[in-house]
Amino acid sequence: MGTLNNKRISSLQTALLALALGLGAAACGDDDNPTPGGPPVIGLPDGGPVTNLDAGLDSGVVTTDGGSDGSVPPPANCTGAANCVCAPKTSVEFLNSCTTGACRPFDNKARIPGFTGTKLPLQ
Amino acid sequence: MARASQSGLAQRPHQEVQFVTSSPLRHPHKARGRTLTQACFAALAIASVSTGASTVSAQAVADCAAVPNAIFGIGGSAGTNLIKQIAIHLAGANPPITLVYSDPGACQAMTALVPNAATGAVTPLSGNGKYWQADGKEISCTYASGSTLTADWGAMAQEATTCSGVEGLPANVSDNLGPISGFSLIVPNASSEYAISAEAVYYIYGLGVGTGHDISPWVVPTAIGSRTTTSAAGLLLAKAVGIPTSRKLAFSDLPVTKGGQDVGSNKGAVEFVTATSAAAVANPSAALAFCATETAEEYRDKVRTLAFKAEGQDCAYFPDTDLTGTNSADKKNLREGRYFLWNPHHLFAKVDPVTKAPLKADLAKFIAYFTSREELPASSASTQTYLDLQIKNKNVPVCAMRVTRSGDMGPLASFQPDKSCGCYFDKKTTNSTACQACTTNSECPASAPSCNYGFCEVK
Repeated sequence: MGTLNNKRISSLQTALLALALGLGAAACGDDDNPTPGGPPVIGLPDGGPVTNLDAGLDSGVVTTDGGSDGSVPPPANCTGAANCVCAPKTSVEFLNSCTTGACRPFDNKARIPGFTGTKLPLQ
Repeated sequence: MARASQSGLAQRPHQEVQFVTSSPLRHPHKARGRTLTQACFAALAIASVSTGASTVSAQAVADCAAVPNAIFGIGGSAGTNLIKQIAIHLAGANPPITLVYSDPGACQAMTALVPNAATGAVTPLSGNGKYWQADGKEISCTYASGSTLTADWGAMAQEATTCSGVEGLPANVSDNLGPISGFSLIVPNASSEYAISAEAVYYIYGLGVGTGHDISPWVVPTAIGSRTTTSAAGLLLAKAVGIPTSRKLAFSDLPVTKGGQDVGSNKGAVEFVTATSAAAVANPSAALAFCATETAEEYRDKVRTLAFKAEGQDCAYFPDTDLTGTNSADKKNLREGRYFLWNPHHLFAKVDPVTKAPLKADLAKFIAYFTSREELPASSASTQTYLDLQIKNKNVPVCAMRVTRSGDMGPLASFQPDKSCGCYFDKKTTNSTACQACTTNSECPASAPSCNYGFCEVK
């Protein structure tokens, strides 16, 4: 895995980030490390649990040293805090890359009876 | 350090790039006025019912083969809305091009273009087709019984080999990549559910309900919509969660009397969870189906896309940043790799086996437009650009993507379009962007030196 986590805090989202991080930065942690008592819940108008993985990156300031290949270095303000990847390179890192948006927890162990982390073979 | 992008993702050179990258699109053109009368279409549309821009004819009124200026296609319904929008535009071009399309299922495109191994022949077009006039009217037509007319093109949101029995394309069929389509697990808006995981989908559509691993509230078989193995949505979902594509998805072959879970089309999935499944209507939280995201978004007043947690992912994401509000159409999670369920639209076309040139001039033009290699022609139907057409249709133009993938639902990799349109996409879908506005490259900073579609981009 690449560098894990972090992001900067925008002034408008400070409170939201504090809530998200304070209640459990690993709220969207994987099934092997579920958050005791469930994930932090932030109410949205549409209802349902929401976890904010990141409260930065919204203003779009990233470092761009201008590699000739068009690549962009990781954002300097992505410093790591909530199980997300600042500079994704592999497929799984892109899946877990940092964002200002919300994610929704889905705990396989809690939701799938008998789930142990390995899918049963299809018959 | 300078402002360059709002995504926060590292841009990297193409890695395992499978897509047609965004060749420069022309600047928006101005319509050159109405160019063609459509009398012939009016004559064919005898029984059409005019109820608005997307009018559907009341019954089949024409022989498809007799439609003028036509090129004939077949495939899945995931791309029908995109094809429709292009078709309306091209119907108003001078000269017009008419796209006649049938959408019985994605893999029907392969049976129509790839010779059967046993017979050496392709399957002629049959049954019903449809085409669109410049005024937006959809006209039904029918291929005559015994017709030997074969397809010029096919449309699917998947690779040819994802269809059963197809080991590769023959030399006389080309594969051309178009915009990105998301795919959605959908529930009625009244459902209590907002997320699902790949593992849960595997159990629901792989093992089926009643195996001892039922996932509440999706425990009512007749409330779970499915598709057959000719459906791109079904095949791609299977690939995404690890179900062999050769295996029928659970509930796909149950008879109508037991719920009719083969919902038949992308729109059928929406109808199933909101109307045609009595079990789903009675218990919305038990309802589940899947379709192209562009279809799900067309019916946002009825259904919502579930946030999806892929294998190896820590949390589930919607295609968009948010489900509601300002950022509910930005496709940011899809574009940056956090929403796993997406694939490019493919346009398969008959070509010369040696030169690879499309066999019909109008087909060559359609391919050029579909893949963004050429801007849409002037049309009496619309002045919009193809870029705007894609965005309006809830597709993601390749130039707005920051990730690519190798193969259907394959692993993700960083992607730098040749001419990015991410800033423009953000502006169009959220009415805001952090990118600097511009009219020429000279106005842009060194960190984002390319003035693309009115905004400074890295490339």
